[in-house]
Amino acid sequence: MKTILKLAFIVWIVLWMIFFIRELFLKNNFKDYKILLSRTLEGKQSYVTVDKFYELLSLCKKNMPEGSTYAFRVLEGNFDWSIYKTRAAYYLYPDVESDDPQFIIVYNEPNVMKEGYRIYGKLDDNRYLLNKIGSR
Amino acid sequence: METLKLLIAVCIFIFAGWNILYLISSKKNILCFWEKIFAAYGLGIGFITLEMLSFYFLRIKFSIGLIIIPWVFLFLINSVIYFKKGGRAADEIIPGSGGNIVLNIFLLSGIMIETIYAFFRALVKPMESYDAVAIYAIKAKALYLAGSIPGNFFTGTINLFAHPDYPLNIPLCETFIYLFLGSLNDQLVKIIFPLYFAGLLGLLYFVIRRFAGRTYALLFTFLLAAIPQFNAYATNGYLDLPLAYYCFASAVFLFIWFEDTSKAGLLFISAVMAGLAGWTKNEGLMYCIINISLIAIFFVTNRKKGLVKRYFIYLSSYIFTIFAISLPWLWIKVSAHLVNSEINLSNLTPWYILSQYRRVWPIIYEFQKQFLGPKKWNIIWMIFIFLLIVKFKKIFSKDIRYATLFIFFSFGGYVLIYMITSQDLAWHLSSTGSRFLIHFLPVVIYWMALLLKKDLDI
Repeated sequence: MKTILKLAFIVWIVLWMIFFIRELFLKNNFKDYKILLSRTLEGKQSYVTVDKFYELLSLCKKNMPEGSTYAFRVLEGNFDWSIYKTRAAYYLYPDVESDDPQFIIVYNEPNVMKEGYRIYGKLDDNRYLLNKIGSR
Repeated sequence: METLKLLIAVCIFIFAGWNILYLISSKKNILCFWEKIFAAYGLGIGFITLEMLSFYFLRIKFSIGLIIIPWVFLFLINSVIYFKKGGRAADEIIPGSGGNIVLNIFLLSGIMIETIYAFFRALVKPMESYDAVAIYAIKAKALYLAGSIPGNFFTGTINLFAHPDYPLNIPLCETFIYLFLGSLNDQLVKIIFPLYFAGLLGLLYFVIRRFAGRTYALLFTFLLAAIPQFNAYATNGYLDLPLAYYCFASAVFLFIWFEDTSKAGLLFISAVMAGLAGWTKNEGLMYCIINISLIAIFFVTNRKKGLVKRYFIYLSSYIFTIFAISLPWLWIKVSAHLVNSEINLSNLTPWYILSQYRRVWPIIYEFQKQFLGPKKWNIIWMIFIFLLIVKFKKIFSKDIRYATLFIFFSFGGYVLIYMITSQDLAWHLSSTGSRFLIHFLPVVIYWMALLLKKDLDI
């Protein structure tokens, strides 16, 4: 029994070291940590939300009055939109999502124009904010 | 300056918890100094957040001063007790020491590396993982911005967020830290999670030290600290590790009380921790039921003439304590119609469960995947299964049977949840399977320590 337990402990230590190093280096975490350590809190929030998307959220924060309603128009492409949408909802609160929004936040999708809305703020052709005419 | 404020906030949690523990154990000291410190952290958080919830009923706004006042008052009462007794009662004595010095240094280094790394990983990023943001941090932000729990919070605002029925222990703890910092710093607030991790490791170490030497206790503490999945959940803002902390504390103090029923304070601490498990995650209520079942089994198997009345008082006090802690939140849930979207309790009938027999195979497959996958768990579950088989005759011996039952009941409870879930089973299994195992993992490690104490003479 003792020998088996000793062997299990050795296997444990070997696996522990492998997974520790893998976690740090192979999963790109080391690169992330290096970048994160050089940033302010807002810079870190921007990094975890994708800088380009966070810039758009900052524009929205600046332009949408507190307690506004919004909806997203996003061409998802090959990124996991659900997590970024969740983070966006968190950063934008107390502005909340709605089916009949005052604002439409457009990301990654050019030439979106919905009837009754006008461009209210723009970073570039793929990132802009639409506002319901007469809502503000 | 913010870091200093953060540390003071953490000290307030420990201060509150310590005073509660002092009051519980003022007659007979039942914990050693460090056990008290590690238990005080979670206890303090739980009671301060319950106090903040009481502000909702009293319709008052959050203020740091108001939140702290009752704990200062309790401190004064404890001071009177202290001076009346003429000093401090002796701490619980932890026997044995020494051991293999080289191995001690190695194991301690491993624990330190894992703990420091957990703090680093938690604090290098702001809140960003899915549930941490969508379920908990957004509620904490809403409460901080409101400066109170508004009257319409549970009937209105909370429905904007995912899982409005989830308890508010950790969101309110985050709100408390924001209030203390005076800003919404969702990076620093994450310190609460690695502190739960450190608290759990500390508790594990000292409860093992009650029956074994330093090297032995360090070995099992290291095993827990070095499990990748366990460490990762100390950093991501999910509540599975805080829940594991409360489940472990409630279970382990109960097991120790089974050994010596004269220390009623331990039973009370166990009940409080179980109640706080329910106040942290809905799954915590399952652990309350498990603990109550274990006490009932203990009373039935140890019934002696003349003790029935006392046992009845113990059991009803345990249930009452859990109920008293859970009542405010249950009241809110019922009155605001906050319903769980995953579990429909009306499915909890033998016929429904039997009709879902096809679910057994995917459940077994998921557990098998977890048990045999070393990436998340190293080989802990393989060792567990090996010990279950090899030591089958011993796992129901007097000093270990309750830990064994606790583990079996936990497994059984989660299998039951999967049998009655109203979610898509494949999705539910893949999103929760590995997290559920975290909840009772520390008890599994403690169980191993109990089981192997005669095999390993270190």
